[in-house]
Amino acid sequence: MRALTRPARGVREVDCDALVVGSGAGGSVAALELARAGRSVTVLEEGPRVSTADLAGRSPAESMRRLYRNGGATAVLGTPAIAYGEASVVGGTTVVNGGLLWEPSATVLNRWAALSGYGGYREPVVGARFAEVARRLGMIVQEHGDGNEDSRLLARAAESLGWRWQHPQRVVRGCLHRNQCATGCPSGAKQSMALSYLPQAELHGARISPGVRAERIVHDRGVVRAVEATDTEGRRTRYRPRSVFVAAGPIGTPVLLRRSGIHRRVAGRRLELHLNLRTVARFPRVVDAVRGTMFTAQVQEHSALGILVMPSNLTPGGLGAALAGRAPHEVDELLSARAHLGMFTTQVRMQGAARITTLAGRAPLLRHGMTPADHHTLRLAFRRTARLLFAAGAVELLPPTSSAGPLRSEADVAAYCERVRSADWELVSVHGMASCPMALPERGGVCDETGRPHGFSNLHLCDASVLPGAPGISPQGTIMSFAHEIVSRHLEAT
Amino acid sequence: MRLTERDLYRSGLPACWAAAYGVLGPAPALRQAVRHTVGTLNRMPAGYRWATAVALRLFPAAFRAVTRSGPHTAPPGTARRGLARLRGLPGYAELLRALTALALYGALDSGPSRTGLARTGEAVT
Ligand SMILES: Cc1cc2nc3c(=O)[nH]c(=O)nc-3n(C[C@H](O)[C@H](O)[C@H](O)COP(=O)(O)OP(=O)(O)OC[C@H]3O[C@@H](n4cnc5c(N)ncnc54)[C@H](O)[C@@H]3O)c2cc1C
Repeated sequence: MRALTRPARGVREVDCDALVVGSGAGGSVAALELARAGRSVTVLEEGPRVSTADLAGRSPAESMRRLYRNGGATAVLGTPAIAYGEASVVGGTTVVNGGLLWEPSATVLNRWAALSGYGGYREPVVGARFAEVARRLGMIVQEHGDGNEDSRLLARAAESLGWRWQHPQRVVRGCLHRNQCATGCPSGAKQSMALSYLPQAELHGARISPGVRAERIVHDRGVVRAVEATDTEGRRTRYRPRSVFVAAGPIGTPVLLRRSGIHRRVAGRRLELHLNLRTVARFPRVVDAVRGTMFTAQVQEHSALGILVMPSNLTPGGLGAALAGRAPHEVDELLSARAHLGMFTTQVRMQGAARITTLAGRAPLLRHGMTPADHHTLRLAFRRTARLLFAAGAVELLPPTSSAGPLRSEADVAAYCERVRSADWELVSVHGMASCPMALPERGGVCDETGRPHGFSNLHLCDASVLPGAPGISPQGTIMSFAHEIVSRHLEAT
Repeated sequence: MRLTERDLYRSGLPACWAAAYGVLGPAPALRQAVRHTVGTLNRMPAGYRWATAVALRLFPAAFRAVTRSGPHTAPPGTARRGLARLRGLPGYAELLRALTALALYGALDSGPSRTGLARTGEAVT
């Protein structure tokens, strides 16, 4: 364990009651609940603070550069490389997410309980927490607007095949269908943490410090003594909190623990991902997929296999970026045919995990080990997606492999699936989890049922990193439910 | 080490983009493409930036090796052929795809908020 060190000269010292590191889905819950309980709370957030007016005044490309870690271009190395997206901003990734809020199923929670050796996060407990989150964020069922033609087509196709589909549950208040969820809602409809939990936490006295990065946790015999942090000007502050809640996200949390010598071997050894395949489909009729909110139909027929299908938020730039591996004349032709194109996401739960291999300076190196079973699932997922899209009336599909030509029939799809190698997939992930799982130490766990890293008394984790696995659904609802339970257990005990 | 727009222009890759892609031909679109590409690269970890800077320095030589002409003055057909050959080389394939994705995103999504769309949406909700 790291010895307690003396502060260097020129370092500001701040005493506080509760310190929260990270202001995303998990950190915001800690900030609000601790502040509501009368604790004096300081939140450190590495990213900037942006207002709705700020988001409305900037182009999507500017917001992408400003809000996302690494400008949105984080790579998870391996065969193939996976593009990973997460935000770094007050409100965390909830500022750029789709606002989907799903409840984890009893099956998933029971599986996690069996795997982790902890039984306290089953359906009755998590379900009640989820209901509270949904109520506070004003969750609604997002029905079709007058755009979202791609979603309507998908829903009708699912019905024609007898497949299960659902309108998404979202945390939006009066969505204006601006279709810019992924670069920050310019109308303020999406209830990101920046517009919901955090302002409420401030009303209860919490202080949010944007542009401040926690560099290291100083601890001694399982007790955190200080957290050292740096701001954007390089000024250093040493916080001396009574308790610390780390919610720096699925990558940031294990990086901070490792840098601080806390569970160095286990933290970040496994990072679970949902993978997204993007398929571009051409329809004979005009679809105008840029019109409408992110999507209004999700096909859940294969959810037991960890497979979900939904339209993507189509923007001209997003389409261009998805086509970038194709020949220039093909890109130009497809962009000019944009009104007839839809882009669809197939989300697949990955079995072979990623991990943080090293910390090269400030940046962690990520690597994944996709397994043959994953390759098989991706092929299966693509085959099912193709069937659905043909049923929706698509006449041509561009699979997520730039070297593959258009597919015009189920036979073309079968031939593609026969040929495609794992290296050929062009994959994206926006859901990372379970990098510091809540599980018994002998089962690879980093933290216990109160979110405390094993052997620590005043340190808690409460973000995506603590989930025992990948839920197979958009994770914000699960993360926030776990965070509520963790903080509530802490408040009951102190 | 920060990359500059000049570094990117000097590599000749933007000239190839402008010649090969209709959407990147107009000067304002190319400017936005370059701006977004460089802006994003400068947000990435130093190691990636450094590797990209080296690959960009080598780009003129690599392009010349596969086309026998320089990237700055390549006509559209040559630019397309050169990019196609380089896309076939391990290492360059991923780099070109990543940089072109940034360029196309920057060129096509750098406009202000799509107010026309917003109005359509407002009518609905
Ligand atoms: C494009 C996109 C769409 C998505 N859509 C959905 C969706 O619709 N529904 C859903 O459920 N999920 C969605 N997700 C995923 C979801 O938003 C995340 O899983 C969730 O926000 C993770 O919560 P978190 O608290 O673990 O981390 P985050 O929300 O990422 O917050 C972590 C915060 O910690 C900060 N931080 C990191 N390190 C430090 C440090 N050392 N010091 C100070 N601060 C630090 C980061 O800057 C960041 O702001 C989406 C993600 C993306 C990228």
